[in-house]
Amino acid sequence: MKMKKTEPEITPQELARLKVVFALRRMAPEVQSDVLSDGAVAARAGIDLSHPIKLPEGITIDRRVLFSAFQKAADGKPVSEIIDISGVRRETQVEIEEESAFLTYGTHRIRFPQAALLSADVEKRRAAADIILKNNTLTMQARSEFDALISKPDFSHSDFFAATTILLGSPESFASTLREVANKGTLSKTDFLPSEVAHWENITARRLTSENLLEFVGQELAAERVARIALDPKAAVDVLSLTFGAPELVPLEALRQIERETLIASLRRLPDYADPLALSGIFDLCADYAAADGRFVELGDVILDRLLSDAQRLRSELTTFATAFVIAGAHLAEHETLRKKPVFWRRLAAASHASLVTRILGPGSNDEPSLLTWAMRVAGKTFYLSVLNDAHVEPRWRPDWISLNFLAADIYGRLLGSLQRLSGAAPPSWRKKLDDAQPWVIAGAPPIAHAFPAMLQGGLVTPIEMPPADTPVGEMYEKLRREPTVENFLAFMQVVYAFGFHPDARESALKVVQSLRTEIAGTLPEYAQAALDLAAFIAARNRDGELADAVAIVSIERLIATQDVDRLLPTTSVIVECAAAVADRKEALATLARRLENLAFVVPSKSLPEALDIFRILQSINEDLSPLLGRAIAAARIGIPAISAS
Amino acid sequence: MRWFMSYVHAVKGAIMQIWNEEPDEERARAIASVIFDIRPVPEDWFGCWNDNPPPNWIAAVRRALIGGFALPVEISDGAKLGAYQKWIDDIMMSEVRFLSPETYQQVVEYLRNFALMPWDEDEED
Repeated sequence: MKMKKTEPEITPQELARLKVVFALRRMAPEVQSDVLSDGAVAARAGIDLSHPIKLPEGITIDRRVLFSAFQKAADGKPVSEIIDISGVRRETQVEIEEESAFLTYGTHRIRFPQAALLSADVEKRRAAADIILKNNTLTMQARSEFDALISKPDFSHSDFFAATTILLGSPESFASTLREVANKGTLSKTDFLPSEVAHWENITARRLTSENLLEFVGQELAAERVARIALDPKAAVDVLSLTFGAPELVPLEALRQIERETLIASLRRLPDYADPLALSGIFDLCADYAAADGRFVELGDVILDRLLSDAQRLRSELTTFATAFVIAGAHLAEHETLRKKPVFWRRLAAASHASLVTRILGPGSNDEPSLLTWAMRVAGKTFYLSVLNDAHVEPRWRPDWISLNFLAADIYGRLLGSLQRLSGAAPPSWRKKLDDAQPWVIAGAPPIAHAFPAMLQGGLVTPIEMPPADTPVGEMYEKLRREPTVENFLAFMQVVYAFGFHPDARESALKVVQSLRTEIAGTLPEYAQAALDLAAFIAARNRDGELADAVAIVSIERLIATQDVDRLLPTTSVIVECAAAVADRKEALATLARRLENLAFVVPSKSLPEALDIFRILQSINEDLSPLLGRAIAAARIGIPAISAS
Repeated sequence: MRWFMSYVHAVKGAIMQIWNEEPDEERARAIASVIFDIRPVPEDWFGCWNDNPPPNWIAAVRRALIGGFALPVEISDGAKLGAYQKWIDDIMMSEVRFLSPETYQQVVEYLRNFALMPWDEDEED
């Protein structure tokens, strides 16, 4: 039997409206605002939306009223009062100064940046835009979109918001926000990151068709740089130098287009910035001009003093740089949209962003390593795994080289490279400064660390030549062939990182890795791990699938044999790097997923929560691997010890 | 996959029950977070389709899962609703907004459609 329902007197329209209100009331304020933002839900449900703007002294004004006042002021009409949200007339004054509107009442004078864009007159909007764009770096594409918006004859408040959203993506907008937060006190991870995805293009250039860094430098980045120089040659160097993360990125030809006096004046500002990578690039430019103009020799001296006269200052600045690079690199790798961008572009964006952050925050305090330690704690695992995950296209740069000693060595290597380019014509003062700094630079890093690839030089290179047998390196290869021991293999570490490992010697490397299966007890754990790390690096760089298989298998076996909980991340890292050795990505990822599943079955149970964490990170940074990890995750979950009842 | 949906509903139901019944907000946050950790992630179950997944299955399930947590129709008490929203923002929504803007926009669209979807006149309750 079914009871008859008593239906209230309610129309279908009212019922629909009630449903909308019911749903909206259950949403968090930010979600609710986003759901209502397109106006469709409010219109269909007959909900009247207001946008109250709260001002000091408890005054609240509806956004439309305030914008209307700004528009009048921008169009040269007087505004003497505004009606607030409760209908009270408020005596106010609205003035336009450059691109901003100023609202004055009582003792308050409040600035509304970019409000001059609300003018009904397109020419006035363009005049305001000219001022705004001088202080906001945008890509050519973003600038076109901005111009199109503000030139619309029926320019609306929505267009105004769209235009100001474009501006929010400028590096200057991020810099301003970060500076403000830093002045207030403690920074969080998200403070190091921009809110707008467009920031990453605006600080570099939009990638269109380039497949590698050199193509990008010669095409999209070159076009963007030419446009920025044409727009404002005086300011261009400031922004362009953010992208000087490697020697290949210094646009010597493009900068020659800037009139010499303007260029030298712009360059002389840069030593005031805490930005070691930009200064290294500018030093290269000084070397380019040194023979023709003595002022560049002087500037080169200033830069060398700035970089090398105070080791502690350089390390502190590099700490800030490394912190920002780790956080940015991890973010770009796991961001839904940005992770789809090519690795070279993401690295360049992260390095340019890190330079910007370093300029704003300057050197860290005396307890500087804590900043980088903090960054490694909040983003280090994602950063580390993402660099290895990208090894199939950028195998030459290792994530542990983000440490200060390696970065300092990289800076030194760049300066040395510029000097060597001048050969005998190098200014003696430059040579002396570099010679004087060498002891402390190499003190904390391997002797030839300055020859290791920079973070933007990780792309694949052509195979190396086998050195003649009577050279020191040739003798090392011969010794390894005769005695394929872990010690003889590890002797190659610096050579491999700087130049590579000849494929003809792969059998020796394989024997070393195989020897670790039988000599687990007889090999120091640090040596064994270092040998596996080196072999994984060689396998990825040389696309050696057989070596990669051996390394991955031995790594897992060592974990089983030792049950060492601290070995999980190094083991996983090696397995991930080994996947880069297989050219077929589908096959590589399927193999990687199987190995991770095996790993989940054999790791000590107390390491399983960490294993699960690592698998989730891998899912977040590799969209194609993500659906293949279900079994590994299930295996890890099954084995995680139950929560103690105590 | 009916069993998958039952798993989804069980996790969501348990979380909503905690927020409705647990008077101590901190305790509710802690328990809800533990339950939330075992929520189904579509990528983990993708393999169960044996290479024949429905088109865009992962995106569709993710959108519905996040949308479901963003719209806690089961909680009616205002204070509890506020506490829940803060918790879900901390544990999920802020990250979705920041790291997955496309997914977030899809969720917003999903919520719009839900809000505007007409009630079936023949509905029993």
